Amino acid sequence: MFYLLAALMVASAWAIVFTSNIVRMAVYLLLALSGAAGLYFLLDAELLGAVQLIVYVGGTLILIIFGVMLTSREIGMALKPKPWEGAAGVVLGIVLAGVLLLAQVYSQLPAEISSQGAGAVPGAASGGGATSGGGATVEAFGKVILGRYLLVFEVAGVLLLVVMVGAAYLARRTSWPRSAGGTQP
Amino acid sequence: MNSFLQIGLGHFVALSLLVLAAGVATVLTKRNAIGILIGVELILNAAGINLVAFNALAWPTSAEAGAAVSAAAGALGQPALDGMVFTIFLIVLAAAEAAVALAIFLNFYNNFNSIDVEKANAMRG
Amino acid sequence: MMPKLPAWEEIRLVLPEIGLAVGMCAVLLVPFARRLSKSVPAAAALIALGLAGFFAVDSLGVSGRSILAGALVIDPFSQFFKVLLVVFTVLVLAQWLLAGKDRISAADTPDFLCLLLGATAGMALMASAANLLSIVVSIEMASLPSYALAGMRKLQRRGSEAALKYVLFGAVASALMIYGCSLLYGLTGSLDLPTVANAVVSGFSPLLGLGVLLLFVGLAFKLSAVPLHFWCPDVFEGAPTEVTTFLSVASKGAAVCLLTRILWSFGAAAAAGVGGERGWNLLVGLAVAVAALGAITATWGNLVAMHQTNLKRLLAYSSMAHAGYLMMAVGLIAISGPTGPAAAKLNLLPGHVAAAVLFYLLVYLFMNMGAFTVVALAAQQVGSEDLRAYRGLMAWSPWLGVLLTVFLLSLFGMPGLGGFLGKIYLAVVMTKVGSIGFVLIAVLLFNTLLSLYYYMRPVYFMAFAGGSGAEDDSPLADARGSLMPSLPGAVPGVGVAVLVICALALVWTGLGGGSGMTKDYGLIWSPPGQAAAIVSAESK
Repeated sequence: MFYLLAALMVASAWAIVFTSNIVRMAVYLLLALSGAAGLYFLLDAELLGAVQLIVYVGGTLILIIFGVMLTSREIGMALKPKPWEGAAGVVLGIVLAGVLLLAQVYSQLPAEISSQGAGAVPGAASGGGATSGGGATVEAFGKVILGRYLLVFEVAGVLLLVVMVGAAYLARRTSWPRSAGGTQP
Repeated sequence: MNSFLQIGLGHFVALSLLVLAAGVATVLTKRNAIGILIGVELILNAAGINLVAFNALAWPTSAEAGAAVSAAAGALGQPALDGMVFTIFLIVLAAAEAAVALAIFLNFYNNFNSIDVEKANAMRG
Repeated sequence: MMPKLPAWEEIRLVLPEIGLAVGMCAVLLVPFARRLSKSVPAAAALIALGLAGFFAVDSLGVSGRSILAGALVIDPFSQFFKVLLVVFTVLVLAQWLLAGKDRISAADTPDFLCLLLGATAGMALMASAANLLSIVVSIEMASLPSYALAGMRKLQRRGSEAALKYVLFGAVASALMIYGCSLLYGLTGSLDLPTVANAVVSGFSPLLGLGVLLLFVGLAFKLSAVPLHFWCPDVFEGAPTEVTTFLSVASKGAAVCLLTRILWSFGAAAAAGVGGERGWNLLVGLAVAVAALGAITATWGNLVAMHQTNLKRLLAYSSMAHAGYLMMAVGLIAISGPTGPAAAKLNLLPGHVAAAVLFYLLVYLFMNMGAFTVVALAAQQVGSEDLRAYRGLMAWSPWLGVLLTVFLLSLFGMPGLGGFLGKIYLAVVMTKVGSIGFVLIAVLLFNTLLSLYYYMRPVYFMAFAGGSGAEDDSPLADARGSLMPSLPGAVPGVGVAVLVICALALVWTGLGGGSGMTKDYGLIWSPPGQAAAIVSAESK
């Protein structure tokens, strides 16, 4: 199961690099995001998987697709990079991937704690609920977010307010030169 | 990680590094502003995979107590959700950032009739 | 078990931020009572800022402590910065009321004020953030409104181009920073800065290095340090002047404070003896890397500033240079400390660095505020920010000319003005770390000399070029006819007040005023279990 999801994610992530059609990029992003959601389910973080699907796939991605639709009236929607730029980017990406994986080989990862035997992804034998991820219930999340991370929670709320104001300001059509009193509320 | 086939933390980290590399390559190669934003989303997802995998597999209990007595980890009870909470906020931040970025793209498009970032060169020096 | 609400003692300490958040809501709600006014929302914003400032001053005396489960650290260093930030935002509002108010409609005014207050709240949080998650969230809280503010002039190509560049660079930088945080969390098992710092200093690995590097990418973006500086001049030119003023001081100041706190958490780990000799060498490398990046940023900013003809762009590169000077000193806090290898080898206390940073920010606030206000006022009259448009300004309006000269001289570092003492304090910090420090001082001196050229160019244009009015083709020449008669009223009284306040503050700080205050408040908290306790510059 892991390999299936991982292959899906890596393939669609790299497909984004190689395609120059913005609509295809958005579709591949959909696949990659769903793959990540699947991995969250696999790791027994059901709430996160659901949030990822609802907010990320259902919200952010749709927003991006709206953006694509509103701005891609251009011929062919392609905006192809110059060939050498594309090639340089791809080569650079592959080199980067290699370097990063090398870095991982030479790094000590923390020991895995799940007592159900190292390496056993908890969700593989799902239904248990007593495995390491079992703590990730909605109730536990609520307690942590409103307890230890209360401040971050509040700031995130204020942040969303500001973002809404900013985005609304930028996106609405104001004709401010005749600002005397004619603008909409 | 006893064998290659047994899936462990290393696999998740490797996957996340590969997605990170794809995201960075996307950011560097795309000329379409939305393409760059998609690359950013890839990087954020790579971070999310890292956070959840590390949280679920390596730090299921609070680090201060758990790291020292990993044998008794189960008994300590108190689950630590730092990574997963971070991921939730990451998703919120990604949505907020996408909203502002797309509003700015739209505004740019209205002025320039394009979202080719190479058209953004009115100011130089 | 229900989650416990934080105690009042803890909530009391975040009242400045709460005040700003309430102010944001207030400016949005006020128009419902009285539609389409600019001054009423502005008054609400000023009240909110006043409250925030009062609470910040009120909490100045708090000796450092960590609150809300380690999410924030409240210490004199952070609270003093918050006071500066609030004072500065009030001045920015005054500048907006003077010179920028006509640029947006009454319907858009609450949006502008809300974004401004939101960014201020984010920057205040940045100065206190002490946990990877609150660092990330506070940086976003400061950045996202700034992106929108940079695009305020949304019908102008330059404005939307500035916003596009800002948001693209910013989104990539913050995504990389979040990835760095995920690695740091994964490898250390905690989001708390002290725990992370201990783990990094004691056992280093390539992936941890990548995490630290990516964490600094986000900060380098906010500071416009060299590989990530491309956005800075464009955003500063394309944004409205009051936003440029705000970003040049507040955004960079908050980033400097956050950098100071992060580096000190590493330094405190080493000072507590974590990591031994190997950890110490690591930190020396880190300190040298940050200082070197600062040196490169300063030099680059100064070199490019030399052939700028737009005054706002020139000041943008100058702000890069000043951020560079600050980084050169702040980097050294990683190898300071009262105990451990730092004390054995060097003579530097974190309090020294914190006090120098606060003093520099205090001075920089006033000199940049002043310079940008002159630009805004002059641009309002002349309709251009080009250097050549300032020809004969000295004759046309001696007040503006003389004041701009004072601000530019202070930015350069003229003895007797605040900018000079600020640089001296940075240099004093550098003298304490031996040979690296002397290289840094040489770079600082060299850069100061470089900057003399471009700070004096506007003065040259104002005072000498075209003053006779013989071959004037500048816009000012055309404007002069109509403006000359109205000269006394050309610059409103409030504008003169803002400028005079800034100039007097520079003279006061130049004579050493405020240095005692910053020394008192240059206290930076260190977590228990790391270095001894709070460390003051006095206790040496």
